[in-house]
Amino acid sequence: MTGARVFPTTRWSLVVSARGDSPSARRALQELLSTYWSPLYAFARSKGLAREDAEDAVQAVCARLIQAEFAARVEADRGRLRAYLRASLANHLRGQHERETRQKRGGDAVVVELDGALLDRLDAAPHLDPGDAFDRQWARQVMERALARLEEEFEAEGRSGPLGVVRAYFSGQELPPYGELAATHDTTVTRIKSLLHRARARFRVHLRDEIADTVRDPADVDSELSTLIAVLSA
Amino acid sequence: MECARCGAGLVQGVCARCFLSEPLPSLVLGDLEVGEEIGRGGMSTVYRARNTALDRPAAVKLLPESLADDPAMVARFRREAQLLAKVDHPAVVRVFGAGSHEGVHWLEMELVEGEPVHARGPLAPGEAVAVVQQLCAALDAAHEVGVVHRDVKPANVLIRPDGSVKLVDFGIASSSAGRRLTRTGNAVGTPGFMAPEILSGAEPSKAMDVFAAGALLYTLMTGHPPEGAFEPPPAHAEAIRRALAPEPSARFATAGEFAAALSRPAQTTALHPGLPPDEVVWLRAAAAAWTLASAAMLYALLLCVTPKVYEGDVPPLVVQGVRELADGTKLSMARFEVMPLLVGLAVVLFLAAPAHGALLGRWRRLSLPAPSSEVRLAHGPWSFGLGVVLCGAYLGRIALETQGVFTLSPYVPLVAGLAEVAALWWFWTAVLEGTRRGRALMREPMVVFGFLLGLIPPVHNLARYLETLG
Ligand SMILES: Nc1ncnc2c1ncn2[C@@H]1O[C@H](COP(=O)(O)OP(=O)(O)O)[C@@H](O)[C@H]1O
Ligand SMILES: [Mg+2]
Repeated sequence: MTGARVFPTTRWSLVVSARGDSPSARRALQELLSTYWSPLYAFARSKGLAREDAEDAVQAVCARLIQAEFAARVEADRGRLRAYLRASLANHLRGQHERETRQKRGGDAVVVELDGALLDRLDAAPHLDPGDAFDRQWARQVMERALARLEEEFEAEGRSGPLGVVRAYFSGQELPPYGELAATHDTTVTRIKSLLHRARARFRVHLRDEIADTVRDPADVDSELSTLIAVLSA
Repeated sequence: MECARCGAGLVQGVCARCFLSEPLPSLVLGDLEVGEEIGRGGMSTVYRARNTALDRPAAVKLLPESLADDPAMVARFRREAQLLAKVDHPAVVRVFGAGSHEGVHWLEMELVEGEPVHARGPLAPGEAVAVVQQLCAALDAAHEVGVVHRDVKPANVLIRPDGSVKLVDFGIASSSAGRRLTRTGNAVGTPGFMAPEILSGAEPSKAMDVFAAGALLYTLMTGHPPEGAFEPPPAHAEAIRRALAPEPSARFATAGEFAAALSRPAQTTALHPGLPPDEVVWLRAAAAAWTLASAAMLYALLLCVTPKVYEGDVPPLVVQGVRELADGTKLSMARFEVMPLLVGLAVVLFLAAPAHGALLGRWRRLSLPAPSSEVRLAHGPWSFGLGVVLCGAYLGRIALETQGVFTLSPYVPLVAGLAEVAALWWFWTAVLEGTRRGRALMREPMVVFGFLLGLIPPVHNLARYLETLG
C-alpha cells in the first residue's frame, strides 16, 4: 500500500526502529549528529584536548552512534540521547573504548562534517566546566534548530514580515512599548500582542518537537526542556 | 552579543532566554488568558487558555492574523461558533463563546485534555470501533439539527485518556438552514476522507459524513486511508464497505446505523455478506431473470423428449419415432414444440439478457472495487430453507414411487419443476456473485452444487422416458 502516512513518527522512533539501516533513518541520524557534534567538541576542548584530538574524539563518538547497536545502548541508558552522548564521550576520553572504536571506524573516517567557523567560535569561547560547555552548546544548537523551523514555517506561509517584527522584539534591546510598535506597523496593540504570543507559543512547539526527537519517553520532554531553559538562563 | 535586558547570550540575534522564559500567558483576550499552543489545523491554531471570570480552563481558537482582514474568512469563523452552538452532544466539543477585539478574532470552547485519535498509531479493532461509534453518535446529533461536519478525519477527532471521544473543528461544516458560506460545488475536505460525490459538486449531505466515518475506521484499523480497490479489515468488512460505498444511497442512511452495524457480530448467515444491500437487490433480480429463463428453456427441451399420445394426425413438427398404438392413437418419442421454445427464448432475450446487462453496467458505472474475498458466500435462510424443502419433496416423491407406495402421473412437472427452480436460483446467484467478486466459477461450491442438483430432475425424467420406451 502506498497510503499517505497518517500516524506521526518521531525521528527517535525512526532511528531506533530501523536500526539506522533505511535511508530515512540515516538522514534522521545525520540530523541528530549535526546537532550534537558541537556540544561534544566543546566538551572535549574543555577537557583540555587539542583541536585535532577533540575533532578525532567527536568523530569517534559519532561513529559509535552510527553503529547499529547504538539504539540498544541508548535505550539501556534511559533513552536520552543527550545524557548518553555526554557519557559516551567521557568514557571515550577515559580511553575505555579507544581500541574498539578505532577498529570499527577503520582508521580516521569522517563521519560528520565539522563546520570550521563554528569550531573557531567554540575555541574562542570562555573556558567552562566540560559538562557545562556541553550543555550550553547543546542548548544553543537546539534553539537554533527550532528557530530555523520557525523561520521556515513563517516563510512557507509568506509571513517573513511578521516574523521580522518578532525577531526585532526579542533582539536583546530594551522593549519598546506595545503602542509604539503597533503604530510603527500600522496595526493594533492586540494584534501585536497576539503575533508575539503566537510566535512564541509556536516556537515552544518546535522546541518540544526538536527535543522529542532525542528522547524515547515523551514524558522526558518536559524535564529536558527545563534543563534547556536552566542552561540558557545560567 | 548579549541581551540588554537579561544579559543572556543571543542565538542568531534572538535572546533565547527572553523569547523562551518570559512566562506564557502573555496575551489576554476579554476574560481569556491565552497560553500554550495545543493544536493546529490547516486554517487556525488552538491554544490552552483560562477564563478568569469563570475560573475554568478553556481552549481558544484564533483566526490567523493573515486572514483577519478578509471579511469572508471572518464570517466563516463566526459561523463555526454558531454551528457549534446548535449542536448539543457530549461527544461534540462545546462552544463557550466567541469574540473579537482590535482585529483579533477568537472562539472559546471546552478544553479537551486529549489528543487526536491517530497520535498513538493504529488502534486495536475494538478501540477503533469504540471511537467510531462515539463519533457516529456525535454526527447523528449534528445531522439532527441540520449540520453536516464535512471534515471528519483523525486530526479532528480527539480522544481522552478514558477513551471518550470529542469531535472538533466545524470550520467547514455546513447547515441546511441559512446562508451557505462555502459555495456549493467547492470541493472542501481532506483527500482519503472525502466522499467521491464531493468532487462532482454534490450538496453537503449526511452521507458524506458517513463516508468519512467509514474512512476513519478504516484508517484507524489499517494505518492508512482507503484508496483505490481497498480491502477492508475482515473484522468489520461489510459495514466499512457499506459506509464507503461510492454511491451515497448505498451507504448507511445515518451515522447511527453504521454504529449499530459495528456492534453486530459479523453475520455469516446474511445473504451475500459484503455486498451493499441495494446491490444485492440488483443481483437477485438478475439471478431471478436467469432462473426463469433457464427454467423455461429446460422445460421446452424437456417437452422435446417427452412422449405424447396423438389421436389423429401427427403434426409435422414431430420429428421421428412415431409408434402406432393398439387403439389407433400414435405415440411420439421425440418432437419439436415451437411455443415453449419461443417462450424460453423470449424470456432469455427480453428479461434475462437486459437484466444482466443492467447489472454489469451498474458495476462498471460504480467502478466497484472487488468485495473482500474473505467473506464466505452464504445464502439467506429463507431461500436456502425453501430450496431444501422443495428438493426434499422431490426426492421423497422419487423414493415413495420407487417403493410403489403411489404413482403420480410421471409428467406432473410441479414438484420436479420447483426443485429445479431452486437449484437454478442457487446456481445463478452463485454465478453472478462469483463474477462480481472475480472468482473462478468452477471452484465456487454453490455453482457446482446448483448445477449438479439442477441436473437431477431432467435426468430423472429422461430415465423415466427411456423406461417408457422399454
Ligand atoms: N477544544 C479543544 N481542546 C483541545 N484541543 C483542541 C480543541 N479544539 C481543537 N483542538 C486541537 O487543535 C487542532 C486544530 O483545531 P481545528 O479546530 O481542527 O482547526 P482547523 O480548522 O485549522 O483544522 C485539532 O486538530 C486539535 O488537535
Ligand atoms: Mg482541523
